[in-house]
Amino acid sequence: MDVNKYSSYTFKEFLEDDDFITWVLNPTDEQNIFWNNFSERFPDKKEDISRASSVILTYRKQDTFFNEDRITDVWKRIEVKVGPAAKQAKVFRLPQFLRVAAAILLIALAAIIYKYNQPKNFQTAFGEIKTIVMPDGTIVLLNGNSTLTYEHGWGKNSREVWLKGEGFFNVTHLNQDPAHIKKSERFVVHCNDLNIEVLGTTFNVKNRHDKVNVGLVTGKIRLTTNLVKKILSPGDYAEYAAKNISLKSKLTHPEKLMSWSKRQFIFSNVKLGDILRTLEDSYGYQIKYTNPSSRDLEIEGEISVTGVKELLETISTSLHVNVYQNDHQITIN
Amino acid sequence: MAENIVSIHEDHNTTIWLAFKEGSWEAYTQLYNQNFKLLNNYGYKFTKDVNLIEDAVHDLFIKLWTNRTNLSTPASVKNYLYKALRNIIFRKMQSQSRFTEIEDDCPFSFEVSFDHVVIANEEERALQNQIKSVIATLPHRQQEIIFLRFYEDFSYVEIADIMEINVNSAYKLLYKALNSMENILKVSKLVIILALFSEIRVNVRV
Repeated sequence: MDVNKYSSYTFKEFLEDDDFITWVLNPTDEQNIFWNNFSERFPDKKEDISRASSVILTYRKQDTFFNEDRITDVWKRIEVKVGPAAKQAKVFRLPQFLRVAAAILLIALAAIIYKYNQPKNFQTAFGEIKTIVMPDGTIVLLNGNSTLTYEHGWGKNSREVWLKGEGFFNVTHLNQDPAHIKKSERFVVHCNDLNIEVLGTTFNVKNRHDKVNVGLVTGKIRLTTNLVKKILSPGDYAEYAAKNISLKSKLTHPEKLMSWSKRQFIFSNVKLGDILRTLEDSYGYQIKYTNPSSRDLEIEGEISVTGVKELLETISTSLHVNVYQNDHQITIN
Repeated sequence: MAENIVSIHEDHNTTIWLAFKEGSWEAYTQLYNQNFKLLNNYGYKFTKDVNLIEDAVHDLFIKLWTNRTNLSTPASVKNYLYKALRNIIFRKMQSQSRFTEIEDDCPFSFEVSFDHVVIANEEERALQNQIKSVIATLPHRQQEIIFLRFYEDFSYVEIADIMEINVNSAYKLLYKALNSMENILKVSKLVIILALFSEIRVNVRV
């Protein structure tokens, strides 16, 4: 570098000079010596040099935006597009909208197939009563806290349903020729391992606490398990428990079996524990007995009331017990 | 000499570039990691729209990878990246301005901000203010060339390439910019005697 060249330099000319800027930005010993000597020889240039270099250095101290926080996220976006993993998947590519459309179509198709093959399921909450009309016209009243399930394509080959909880069935009669009963004319209710086979009848089924109670109102019922078989006629009330079917005393008014469907409670000569059990099962109440023996208190005669409140009042007056109801908790004192 | 330092740095960048062109994912990753911060900082000079800058950096690197076999080996990789990013940002801002009205001379905003800079003394603060106000009065292209020259340390040839003008115009443009700055910056009322030969250090090196 020529010392004399710089002797006439102005402030501005220093800022234009490549060598000067290079020195300011990346000073080396060699350059330091040169500029040191220069300012010794031309002290009147000292201020211009000083000023020019401080302008550059101050200018360079400005705010930065390095966006470091985002370096990983932006990289991930790049990787997804062209990364080693993305490369292999790139064999065949549909346009964006087609890909989206195809994806939606696939999902919809899968959902339909899933739904199609999925058994139909009707469920009731505590205290809820549902009326289900089956494809063949059969009506099922579903009591609270119960589930009725049947498979898709129901009624074509057979009429089979699965019941948990309590339901009242009014089965449509399809059979024309009693001598030749087709499989599809038979209506079967499965409760655990008990099968209730009918042609066209009205009956109530209660499947709770590992016990199945079947009460027949009209028509004929055949109860079968792997081991036993029993035919019921109207008014019969059967109980299936511990792999055994037993017949209870005949009902004089079997139609009262469906009183629950009108939120009616009809009991005759029943123990308090059994009455309140139905409140637990179908309505979801929690029953507490301060004295456990009060479960065995029996109400003589018949109760026929509508609604939980009225039932509790009747219990209280006829058995002389205190009944406290707090939300879903009932305490018998 | 300092040129050696620059060229050594460039040599390194060029080595990475060659490996990247051969399809090395590691080299490509390195290229990204080494330049991400600088490119964001540069992009921020054109727009304060952070998402736009990120998208531009993203697009730039996608383009690099997909076209890697057709790319030449530039004399300066940094130069190449700056130029490419600048073009992408301009294009994005143009397409954006079709939807939202922007002021005529908006695209560049190479104004200087010292808001987050911790400064040592009053003289420097005074100089900061002078620089800030004088830069703000310059046309945007002059602001840009000042940035490329003094901040990024690009040569005239590189600046001409980035700004897509010829080298002579680059000289003239910087000359004009310095002319406007001269009167304000030349004379300081407080004579700053920097301990020049001991204190000058490389700053703002990423």
